[in-house]
Amino acid sequence: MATVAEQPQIRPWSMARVIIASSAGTTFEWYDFFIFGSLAPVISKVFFAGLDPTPALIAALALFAAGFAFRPLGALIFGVVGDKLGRKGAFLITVSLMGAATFLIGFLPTYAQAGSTAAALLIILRILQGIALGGEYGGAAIYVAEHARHDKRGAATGWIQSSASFGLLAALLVIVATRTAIGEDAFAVWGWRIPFLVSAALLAISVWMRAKLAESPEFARIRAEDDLAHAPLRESFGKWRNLKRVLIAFFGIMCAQGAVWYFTFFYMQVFLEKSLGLPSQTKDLLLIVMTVASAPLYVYFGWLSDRLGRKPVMIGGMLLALSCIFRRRTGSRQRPIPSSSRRSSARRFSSTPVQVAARSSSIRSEPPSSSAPATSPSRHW
Amino acid sequence: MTKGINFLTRRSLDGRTYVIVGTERVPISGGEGLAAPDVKALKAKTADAISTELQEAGYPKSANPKRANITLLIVILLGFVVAATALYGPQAAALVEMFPTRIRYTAMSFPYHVGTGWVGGFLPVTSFALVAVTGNIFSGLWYAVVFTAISVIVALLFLKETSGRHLQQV
Repeated sequence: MATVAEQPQIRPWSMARVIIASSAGTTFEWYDFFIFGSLAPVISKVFFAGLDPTPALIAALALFAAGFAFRPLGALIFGVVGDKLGRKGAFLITVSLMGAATFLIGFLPTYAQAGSTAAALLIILRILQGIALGGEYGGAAIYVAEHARHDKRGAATGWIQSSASFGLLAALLVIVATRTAIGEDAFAVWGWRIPFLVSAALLAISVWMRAKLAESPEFARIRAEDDLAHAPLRESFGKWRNLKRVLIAFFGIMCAQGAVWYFTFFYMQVFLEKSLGLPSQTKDLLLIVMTVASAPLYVYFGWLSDRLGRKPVMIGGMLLALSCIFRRRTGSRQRPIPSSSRRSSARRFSSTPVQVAARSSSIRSEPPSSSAPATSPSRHW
Repeated sequence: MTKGINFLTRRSLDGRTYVIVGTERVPISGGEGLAAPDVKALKAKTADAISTELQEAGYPKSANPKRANITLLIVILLGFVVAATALYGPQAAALVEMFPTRIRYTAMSFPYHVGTGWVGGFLPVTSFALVAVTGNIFSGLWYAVVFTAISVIVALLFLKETSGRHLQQV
């Protein structure tokens, strides 16, 4: 194929600008997402004051989950926009929508001021955040990938992947700085608004950087050739050739990706604090160490996949995750935490077992033991 | 409060709910018909009773930081970090290369967000629920194991290598 040799000629600095502008936007969106998760306990007090503390926390966590639940909807909406009108337009809209929704959360009336209207407004903004994030990621990854050289695509898009770490770090830093500066009491009353309001500055930077970018060369090419899809949804999911790839992408990559990544960066916190009984400061510190260590590794493994291939690197990651999990389950000789849950407890367990006896229906619905690790959700989830 | 111990769940013979530590029984009441402050008091009282029984039976109250091998813990955690980044680092390029430019945005965004939003986003809640139902603090790990194993098999059988592919040719 003669035409294949035509590489989009991108100068190095332009490529750096493409990567920076795209990852700045995704960093900012992850920031928005993480501050909400980290502030769940405070938010539950401010917006669900009409509920008891435990249902209020559950409501706040459910709200956090609502953000996740609506992401596929955003993916469909902005996927169509991005395929029909262009990458640039789609990811300018998503970053603006995300920023506006987050900024407005900082201005919401509290339960004390507006009653359940406040909670309803919060839920709406939260859903908008989820929809925006659903459109954002694809746009940024595609935009960078469609600019990158074929043999450097993995390394270039690795930066987009690492933006999740930068966003999480920024969120932790802003929250810790605000808490330290104004104190815990003021933070609970009005200080929680600051991390949301800070997003306005991040929004301005992201929009400014992205507005200066041109359309991706690949999209410009098919637009020039009048080869745009008229019905991207029908073409993606209605044609078996494409649907098959969607299914392989989901079952072959994304199932493991969702499970391993969220296990490592979310569930691990809960596991360390609730199940292993580590102090929450130690757990926070470990989380920061993990996040900092991970940032360069995304780019490294993206680069490695340009050399060795995507498949061996990704499958290697999946197998390593499985072996780490089984090591935790079975490696009794070398357990890091000889704690309540570990050796001493295991020995004790054989002599003095703990049982929870209940009618079978209530075993399912309410674990009655207050010592069960699962009855209280982690504050930091 | 004692955290993170394994427990067995079984059917109660008389239909009432107990927490049994060795031979000691702590009855659990649902607190039906009580006012909110009374329920709270009841909860605290029950938690205390369980906590006391557990400590008398020799279960330690919480992790002893001096006995924790933080170095080994960090090594294991970094193992997970390497696994997660090896999977996530190349994944954007891999998804982009799977779909033609015409439908790329739609076709890659949807599986990505079902995977991260649903499989990933609901992982903490589901894993928690598994721990609560089974009473084993490690049973929550099965959720991650099952989904990862599915991907290993499907990727090995069906995923094509796409590295270095020209996007016009997809």
